Amino acid sequence: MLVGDIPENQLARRLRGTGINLSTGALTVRIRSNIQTFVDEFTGIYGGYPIEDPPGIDDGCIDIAFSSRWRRYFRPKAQAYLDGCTYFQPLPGRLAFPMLESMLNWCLAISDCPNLLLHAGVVERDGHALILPAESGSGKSTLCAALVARGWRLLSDEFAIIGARDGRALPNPRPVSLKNESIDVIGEFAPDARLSRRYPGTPKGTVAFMRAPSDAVARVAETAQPALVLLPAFSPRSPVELDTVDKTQGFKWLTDQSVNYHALLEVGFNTLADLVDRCPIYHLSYSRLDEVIERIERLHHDAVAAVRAA
Amino acid sequence: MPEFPDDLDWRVGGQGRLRYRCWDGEYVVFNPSSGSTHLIGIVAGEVLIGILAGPVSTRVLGERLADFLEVENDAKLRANLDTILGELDQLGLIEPAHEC
Repeated sequence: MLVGDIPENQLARRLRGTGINLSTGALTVRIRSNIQTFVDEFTGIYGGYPIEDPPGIDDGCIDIAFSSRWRRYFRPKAQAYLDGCTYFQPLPGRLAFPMLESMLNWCLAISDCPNLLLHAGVVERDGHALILPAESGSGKSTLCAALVARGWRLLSDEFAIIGARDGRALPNPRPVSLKNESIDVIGEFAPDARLSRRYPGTPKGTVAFMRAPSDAVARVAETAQPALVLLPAFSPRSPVELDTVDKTQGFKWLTDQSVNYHALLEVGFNTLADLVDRCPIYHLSYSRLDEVIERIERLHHDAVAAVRAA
Repeated sequence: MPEFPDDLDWRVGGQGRLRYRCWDGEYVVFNPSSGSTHLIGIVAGEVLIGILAGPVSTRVLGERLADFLEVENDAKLRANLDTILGELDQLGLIEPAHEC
């Protein structure tokens, strides 16, 4: 059953009561909320996602609720809870949906995930994954959204999940989080992209979410073999520039982008070392999306050919 | 005066379960005992790999290192080897073989 299959009034009632178990691929999270605007926006973005019905064991329970009884009426403020604990400051009630997105990221980051988690976007074509690890503000999500708009399959905008057993990238397709100028950039680059409304005033400025294509959600069980790692950096007015990263430096850089490398101990080392063994790594600076996508597609094509030849 | 005796045997630390990769002459080594990952240069890496194969004496390590670098096995080389052995020991990657 999909979120969108539940009649609106029933969904609102369930979210206010026992909640629904939303499955995004890597995680199944119980979600509850008593904020009506949140319910409407949640349905709009997650309507195509499966829910467990009846609910099984979840990876965590997220409550998005007014921070106090009075805050429902007077300058409404919302608070997000994960298994009853708060990790973020309350925000105005109109930002309840972005709070869910932050909490879903947090839920995965602090989970006992047995696989390697890298702060990275991941997209796939021809069965092979392109991994885009980057720090915030580097243009990772913009590039990820642009590639998805050009037909690449979205595996994740926030975390690359590299399987410890087979080294494959596991899908966890959730909305792509676009910030500030990148909202207009993607709006102009991909007029057909399905963007949410804008949420001004978040800790990261104005954000909007690009819905994950239904194909990406439907193929959530299809893992992909990593073929290429690009470390993107948006650089105004810069032509596309590629610099090979030597594997030792790439390894070090990727450990810095991992949230659980050290916790996984030997498994973390083996998984990351295998990834670095298999994939060429480049620093990529860019300013124009059309230009950089063309270059990425050629690079990915060559990387896939090399993987197949090996 | 060398820091370590010629006949001192060295063995791998981390209960013999070090994991490593060598890329372009640089070594990335994981020590399961400490949970630490170390980045090691080519010369220290060559010494470590020599010890990974089994306990080996300081003297033999010196001979192998001289062959590898194609230099005389003299006091200067020995001083450098002692420094490397001291550093690898401090990182817990190797240890004297007689230690319990």
